[in-house]
Amino acid sequence: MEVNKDIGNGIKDRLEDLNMTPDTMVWDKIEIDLKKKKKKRFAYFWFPIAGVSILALIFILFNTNGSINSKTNVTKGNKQALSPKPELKTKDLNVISNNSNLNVNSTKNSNNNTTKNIQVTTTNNSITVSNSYYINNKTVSNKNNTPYNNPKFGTNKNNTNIAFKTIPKQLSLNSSQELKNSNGNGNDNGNGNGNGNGNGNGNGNLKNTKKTDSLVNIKTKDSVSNENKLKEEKNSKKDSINTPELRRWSVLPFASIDQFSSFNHATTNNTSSNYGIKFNYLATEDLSLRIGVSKLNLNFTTNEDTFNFTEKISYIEIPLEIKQKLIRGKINTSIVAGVSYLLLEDASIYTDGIPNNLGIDSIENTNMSVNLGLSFDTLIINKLHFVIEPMFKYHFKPLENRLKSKTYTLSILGGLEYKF
Amino acid sequence: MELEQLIKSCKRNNLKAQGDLYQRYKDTLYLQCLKYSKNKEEAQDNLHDSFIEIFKSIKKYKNKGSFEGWMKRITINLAINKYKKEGPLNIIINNDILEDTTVTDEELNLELTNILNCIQELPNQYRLVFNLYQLDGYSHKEVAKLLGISVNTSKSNLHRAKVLLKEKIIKLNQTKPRLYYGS
Repeated sequence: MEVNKDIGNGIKDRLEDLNMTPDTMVWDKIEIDLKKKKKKRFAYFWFPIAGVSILALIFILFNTNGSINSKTNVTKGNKQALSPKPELKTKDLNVISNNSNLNVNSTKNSNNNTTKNIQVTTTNNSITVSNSYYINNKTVSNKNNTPYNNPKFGTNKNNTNIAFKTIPKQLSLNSSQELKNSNGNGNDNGNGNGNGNGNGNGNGNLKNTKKTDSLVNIKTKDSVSNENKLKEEKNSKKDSINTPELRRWSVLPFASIDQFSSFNHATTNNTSSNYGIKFNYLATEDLSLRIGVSKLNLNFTTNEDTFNFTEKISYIEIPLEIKQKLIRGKINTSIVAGVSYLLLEDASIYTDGIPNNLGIDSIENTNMSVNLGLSFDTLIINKLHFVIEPMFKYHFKPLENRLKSKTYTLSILGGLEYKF
Repeated sequence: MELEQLIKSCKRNNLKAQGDLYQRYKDTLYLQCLKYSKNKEEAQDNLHDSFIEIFKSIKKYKNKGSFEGWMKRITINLAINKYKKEGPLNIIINNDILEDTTVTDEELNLELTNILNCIQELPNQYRLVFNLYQLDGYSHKEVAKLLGISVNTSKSNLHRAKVLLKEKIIKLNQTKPRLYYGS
């Protein structure tokens, strides 16, 4: 007797015996696509690295500018210190040349705005350059083409032979007279040898043919570079007294409440949050750069076709932001703008409370957002500020493709910023 | 290589491991794709997309539950999304809700590829409902949620799918060579 069975069950039983193999070209295509994806992934991972590099570059640039400025100040300071105070001693040699004909190296070094400090020590009757000379290009020269008017020359009553140790070609100075004239002029005839003659009356090859902007200081005990360092320290101390100390670095541990939403999909049961840390570098008095890392936990429900999809998605967020101070006061107000790089950490989807990860693959692995917000901070105690930041973050891609809409988060951040 | 090790290597985007994983599961998932698709070409496209998605999402697999089941769910989900993308699913109001949907073993004694063809020829929504409920064990509630339809629609679609399948199978039986049946 024939037994009737449900066609569905019957087909299911029969199909269990079915074996079919796809064409080999399927794997070939998958392989090609996987290789392409690897390249894309590589590019993606450069985003945060590039961000950090940019920040580092900006930091270096600001630091370099700062040091250049301070060097300029130091040089000015040195000049001021040198001019009125005839404190240079007779055993050191300091040659500062403007529009100088002195070319110490065999290569012609006729830069107009060049400062050359040559440190010289004396042994018996010979003066020997013991340290390499250095050229402070521009720092002195830009504004200081005028020579030092009141230099003090050391006196060397003996016949003096000056040999440059560290310079390939030697400059020897033979002089039977005192070096008194403030406008000493070093002259290199191109062969690297020069003989200096105080007041231009000696037998040496180095002659005072022009009373130009050159300045020769001779010291024998303390090197000028050491003196410069001391003066630099003095100047920096002065600077620190004159200008209030800027605490350039600060750290901001924070937590925020976030509202995840999209422009055409309402979300409910939003209990999203974010917590992490941001590092702040004060580039100027009002502008600061910051980078951080945080964990963004999105938890929300969307309603589609009478079904509730609850999604729990966590991202690692790397923000890179600029903060510009707008209002100074008891409560400082700043505007914050930047981008965040988002790396998917974990995700799960529930339909009416039942775990259902069918849509999980539609969640983006990486994303970026553009951030805009305000920052309010107030001093609590020394160096410690309380910070509140309402922030809007617009995602370049929807966090989940299923929503097919542009998504964003609104957040209110609270944290304590410690400045050091 | 052990499956766990294979998965770990795939998480590190090791191409060889991905190739091994493909070889291990290609037939199973291809069959899954065939059932949900209209034809072989579409099935192979779905298989390709499924494996790409599997390799992309494998980091999210937390070794909880069956790995094969996880891969199948991704395959099913992609198939569903594909037909969702094609626009509203074709819903046919049926008048034959009480029609008999039983067959004999004799009637089902057909080439397996013929039976598969019968499924592939079903309208998209009927095919999806039939596969999800009948072949992959989802409840009507789950089918309804996945396809964005009501539970009653899911039930009626399933019944209608069975009716259509029976019609096709009877037709195939009628064209079957007599020698095959014997005398």
